[in-house]
Formats: sequence, structure tokens, C-alpha cells
Amino acid sequence: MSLGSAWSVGLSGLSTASDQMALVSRNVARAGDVSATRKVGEQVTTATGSVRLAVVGRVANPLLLEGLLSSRSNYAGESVTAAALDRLHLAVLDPKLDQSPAAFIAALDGSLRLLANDPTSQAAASELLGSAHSVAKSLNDATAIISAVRSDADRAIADSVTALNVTLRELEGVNREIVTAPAHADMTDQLDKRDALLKLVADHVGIRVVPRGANDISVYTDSGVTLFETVARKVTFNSSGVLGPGVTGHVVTIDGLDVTGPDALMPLRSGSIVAQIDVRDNIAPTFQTQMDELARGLIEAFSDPDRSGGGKPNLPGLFTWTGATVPPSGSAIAGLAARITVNSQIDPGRGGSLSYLRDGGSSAPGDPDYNANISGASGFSGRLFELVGNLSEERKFDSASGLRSRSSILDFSSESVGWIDARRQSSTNRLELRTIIRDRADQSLLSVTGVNLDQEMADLLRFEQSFQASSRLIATIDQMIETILEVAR
Amino acid sequence: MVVTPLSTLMSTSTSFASHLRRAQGETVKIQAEVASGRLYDVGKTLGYGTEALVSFRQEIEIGRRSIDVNKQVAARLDASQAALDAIVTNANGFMSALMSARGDPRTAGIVSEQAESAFKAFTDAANTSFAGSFVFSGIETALAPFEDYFSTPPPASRNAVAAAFSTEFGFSSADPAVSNISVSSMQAFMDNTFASLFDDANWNSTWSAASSQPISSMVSGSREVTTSVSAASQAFRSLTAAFVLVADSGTKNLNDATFVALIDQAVESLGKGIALMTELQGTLGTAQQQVQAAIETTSVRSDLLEEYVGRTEGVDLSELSVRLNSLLNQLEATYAVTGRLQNLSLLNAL
Repeated sequence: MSLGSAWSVGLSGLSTASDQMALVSRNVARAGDVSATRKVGEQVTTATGSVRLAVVGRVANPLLLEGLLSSRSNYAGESVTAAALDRLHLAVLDPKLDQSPAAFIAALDGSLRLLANDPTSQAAASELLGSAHSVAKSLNDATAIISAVRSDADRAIADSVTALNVTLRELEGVNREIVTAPAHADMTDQLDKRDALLKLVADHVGIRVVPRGANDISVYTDSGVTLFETVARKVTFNSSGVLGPGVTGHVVTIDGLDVTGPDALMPLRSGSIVAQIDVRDNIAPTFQTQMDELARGLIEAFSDPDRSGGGKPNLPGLFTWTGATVPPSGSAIAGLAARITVNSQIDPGRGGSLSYLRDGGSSAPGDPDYNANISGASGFSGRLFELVGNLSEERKFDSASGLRSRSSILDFSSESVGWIDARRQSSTNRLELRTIIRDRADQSLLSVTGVNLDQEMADLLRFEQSFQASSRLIATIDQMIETILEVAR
Repeated sequence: MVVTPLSTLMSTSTSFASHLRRAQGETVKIQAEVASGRLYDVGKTLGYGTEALVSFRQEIEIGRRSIDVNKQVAARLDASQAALDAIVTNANGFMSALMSARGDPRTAGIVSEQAESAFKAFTDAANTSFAGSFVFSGIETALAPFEDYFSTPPPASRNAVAAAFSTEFGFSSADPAVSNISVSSMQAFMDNTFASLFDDANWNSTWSAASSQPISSMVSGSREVTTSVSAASQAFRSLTAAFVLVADSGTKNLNDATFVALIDQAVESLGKGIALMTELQGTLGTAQQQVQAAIETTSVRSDLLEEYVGRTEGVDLSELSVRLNSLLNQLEATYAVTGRLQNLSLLNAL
């Protein structure tokens, strides 16, 4: 060993200490970044005894990352469902506000009883007409809300797919950089970036990340469809714009393969896209069917039978729709709730007459077969009593509504409120749980891989001292060389 | 030994942030619940239970309207009963007039006038209307049951009586010749021609516009109860017959024997009418009871439902305040700990 080699070892100590300091400052600078992992320099000693920073690594934990990815997918999906249910709930609101179709139908029942007690009263007849308008309007409004929820879900899917494609392309770029980098190159920032992109992907679609050689990864959906392998796969979706009742939206495909809808062989299981699909194709349409069935039930309950026994079809009474017929029992007509109206023949504001409320036959003016009050008695209440009875009479409803298939209109309407609230309750509970799980997964990963300022400060002190020591060493060697030179002089 | 220190971000912000978010959300909810006394989100808290709640609210609403309707029905029944009372009192008064006149045929003129005024009083009572509807018209509530018999020009009913009389005897009831009518021919007239004036067909066409179909009401749920009596019933016909017989059959010119026969017939008809009227009062009384019972049952049921709804939707304020207190304490502790942890950094010692 010579002074010369001691000199160069001292110098290598200096440069390594400053490299370590640079790492510390990188760590400290990104201490507030959730996607930042802690960078660790690996110091090696060469054959000559000098030291250098061989590799910059990072603290990573693939298992915790995987946990975080799946918990993020679950959380993203459930928050979509919970928000959509809360929006659908606007169609019924708090029971106390009496703004649900159920409450309006109860008010209609009350108005019917009032008019039945005094069929000559114009005030009672007008009130009944007003109640009927409220019922029809609440069903129309509910349909508007449901359609908006479905259309927005459709748009959200399109946005998600766009964002997903962008993220996947970015992922492709970053991954290529990582894979093609020379060995020992510092790729930690790119790896951090790649993890951050994976988290974004997981918000849209549940994924499984499979490591391959040389830091490469491939990404599959939770159902096993390849989403990324060397190159990003194309996710496609055609937005439908406005989705009216009964109109089905398009499916999402990855690489031309259906991943949602009935034809999907490997359907997506979690993430926001599949939750939006569920809202669009399942939750909202079922609620729509309930509203449609309520509308159909009302048209049916208020319809006029052929009283002559001649077998002519029932005709719409107080409530009618664009089809102006009484639809067959027990099978829903998509969008009926949007098309139900109060019969204009009954509405004096539209040239009708309130007397049809008492006598029936509004859809066949002048046809005695549909008139329940042939004698024209002003106090005739038989028809109105019949209607009150019809409201609480059991009738058949389409099982696609997800509610009891035999029920009265009053019960069906309240069951519908229970249906949506039960879903809101369980979705909210699930969301609460999934929020906690996601937060915990986030924290677990962060606590392991994140930067601890105290540790960095301690390291800073350590490297500072090592720098000082190396400096002192060099100064001492310098002195020794000086001494030798003086002796030689 | 490898010690993995917790990341600074994790220990200071994220874990506390999520905890604080939840606690603050909960605090907002509790504050809203304390202010309104109801659950913050009834539907979310009760889930499927909301169905029952909405169903009960429907029943309360319908019950409320039923009570309103039943109170109206009760008021109409009261008015009807009062009118029937007046009719019966009036008929009883006329009955005693007839009794005293029977013993003294010279008062024929007086009793004929008494019949006229009693008939007018009867018509008034029978034409009682309630809230714009005639109570004794059956379902023809817009039509008065009786026209004024003594109006000019005379109504169809009076013309029919006059025609029947002159067809039977060949002269009008105002003719002095009525004194020649024998008891037997008068009896024949009263039993046949006169009686037939009050049969179903003639009653509807000449006497009364009332429908024989009574008003019925839905007193509870969908149970229909008959809540009116019609002027088309026999009670009204018998009374009318008695009044007309005495008032408009030439009574004051009849010979004594025929007069007594006529009064006997009138008494019989009047007595029958009064008895039937009392039956009608009984019918209405039953309806009144049913309506009253329905009002009571419905309001008791509504009260129970309201109480249930209130209990289900409501919140326990004392429990809430305890929860709010502990939550606030917890929040404060969290703040304190976070603050302490923030200070606990090596940076401060350097």
C-alpha cells in the first residue's frame, strides 16, 4: 500500500459520500410524494480498496403493491355503485318529504276517496286530477333521473376507457425504458412511475401484474385478458350518447375481445368500468322496470272495462300513454314511465271533462259500453269505489322488476323504495369497508416503501461524517506528502 | 437486526387523514341528526326497512284522508238525522191534528190547512241539502227530492192528483159536489186510483227525482257502508200520501162520514210512514255508529303507525350526545397526537 492508493481511496470515499448525499436529497425532496419509494445506494469496495456506489436500488414490496391494486379496484367499483344508487334515490327521496311515486300514489288514493264521498264536488275532482298529474310527473321524473344515470355511466365508461388507453401507452413507454436500460443503470424513478401508472390502471380495471425477466412486467385483467405485454393492448368502447329506457349500450372490448356484456367469455370483475357497466345495464334498468311496471299497473288499475259484457278490450282511463291501449298484465314496456300521462279527455285544461272521473269511459266518449253511470246520476260513486279497490288489489307485475310479482300498486310502489334503499345501505356499508381496506393497503405499502425523514437525517449525518473523515484523511495524506517533499528538498 | 422505520408521509398524513375524514363525516351526520331529531339518511340506515316505513306512511296518508272523508260523512249523517227528526216531529204533530179532527168533522177546513203547512214543512225537511248535495236524493245528489206541491203553476204531482180525482168522480176536488161522495166510493178511490199514484213508476215520474240507490261511503279500508236514505223509500211515500190526501182531496167539503173515512185512511198512511221513518233513522244511526267507529279505529291506527314511524326514523338524543362527545374527544386526541408527532422529528434536533 502506498500513500498514492490511500489518496485515491480517500477520494473515492469523498465521491461516494457525496453520491449518498445526493440520494438522501432525492429521498428528502420526494418525501411528500405518495408514489415515491425510498432509494438505497449500495456501496461496494473494489480490489484496490476504493469504494463506489454500485447500484441504486429502491425499497419495493410487490405483494403489498398487489394488495393495494386490488383494493383500489374494489374501492373504485363500489364508489361508482354507491354514487349511482344515491343518484337514483333522488327519484324517491326521504320518506318524510313525500316525493316518491309511492307517496304520490297514496295521495291519489286519498283524493279518490274524497271524490268518492262527494262525486259532485268539482273541488274534489280537481284535486284528484292534480294528484294524478303528480303521480304521472313523479314517474316521468324518475325515468329522466334513471336515463341520466345510465347516460352518465355510459359516458364515464368512455372516459375511463380513454384514460385507460392513455395510461397503458404511458406504461408501455416507461416499461420499454426500464427493459432496454443498461444493467446497473438507476431505473428507480421509472419503476416508481410504472407502479404509479399501475395504480391508475387498477382504478379502471382490476389487474394482475406478472413479473417477467429483467424488470419487465405484463399486465392481465382480473379475468385473465392480456392488457399489457411489451405493448399496450387496445381497449375500445363506443359511447351511445343518451341512453333512453330499454336502449342497451355497447360493450367494452380489449384487443377485440368482449370483456363486458353477456357474450364476454372472460368478463371483468372489478374496477370502475365494470361497476359503471353494472349501473348502466343492471341496477338502473331494474329500477326503470319498477317505474315502468308502476306506470303499467296504474294504467291497468284505472282502465275502463267493457261493461256490456261484449268483450271489447279495456281502455285507458285516468292514466294513458302514447300507445293509448291497456298493455297486457305482467310484462313491462320499457320506458312506459316516461310516456304515462293523465288522459286529456279528463283534463279540463286540455278540453276534457272531469265527469269521466265519476262515470268512466274517457277513452271512448259517447260509447255507453264503457260508461259505468248510464243514468248520469250526479252522486254516482260506484266507479270511484271500484278505483279505490283497484289500487289496493293484488295484480301481476313483471319479475324483471326484481320485486314481488304479485302485489298491489300501493305495495309495489313502497317495495320499490325499499329495494333502492336496501341497495344503498349495503353499497354504503361495502364502500366503507373497502375504503378502510384501501387505506390500510395504501398505508402498509407506504410505511414499508416510503421515505422516513428521520432516517434520512440520520443518514445525512452519517454521510457528512464520512465525508469529513475522508477530507481529513486526504488533508493528512497531503501533509505527509508535504513532509516527504520537505525532507527531499 | 433490520428495523424498517415507518415512512414519514404514512405516519403523519395519510393514516390520520383517512381517520379524520371518517370522524368528521360522522360528526356532521350526528349534528344534522340532533338538529332534525331524525336519522341523517333514513333510507341508508334502514335499507329494506324503508319499505315498511313508506308503506306505513302511505297508510297514514290514506287514513288521514279517510278520517276527513268520514267526518264529512258523519256531518252529513247528522244533518240527515236532524231532518228525519224534524219530519217525524212534524208528522206526529199532524197525527194529533188528525186525531182531534176525526172527532170533530167541522174542523175539516182547519185540518186541511194544517195538512198543507205540514206537507210544506215535510218538503222543506226532505229537501235538506248538505255541502251542496241533497241528502235524501240517493245518488242523484244534484236534484231536490221534492218540488213545492203548492207552487204555481202546479207541479206534475199536483196535476196528477187533480186528474186522478176528477177522472174518478167527474168533478174537481174544489167542486162543492164532493159532499156527495160516499164513503165506499171514496174508499175505492183511496185504495186504487189514489194509491197507484204512489207506486214505483208514478213516484219516480211525478213525485220525486230522488234515486232509489242510496249513497254509500267507504268508511274504512274498502268497506262500503250505506250512509243515506232515499226519498224514494216507502216512508216518504206514505207520509206524502197522507198529507196530499188531507190537503188536496176536497176535504173541507166532504160529508162527515166520508171525512172520517178519509181521515182514517190518512192516519193509517201517516202511522205507517212514521213507523218506516223511525226505521230509516235506525238505519242511519247504524251508519253513524259505523262511521264513528271507523274514525276512531283509523285514528288509533294512524297514531300507532305515526308513533312507529317516529320511533323508526327518530334518533335517541341522549345516545347521540354521548356519541358526539366521544367522537369530539377522539378527534381532539387525534389532533393532539398528530401535532406531537409533527414535532417529533430529528430535523428539530439538528
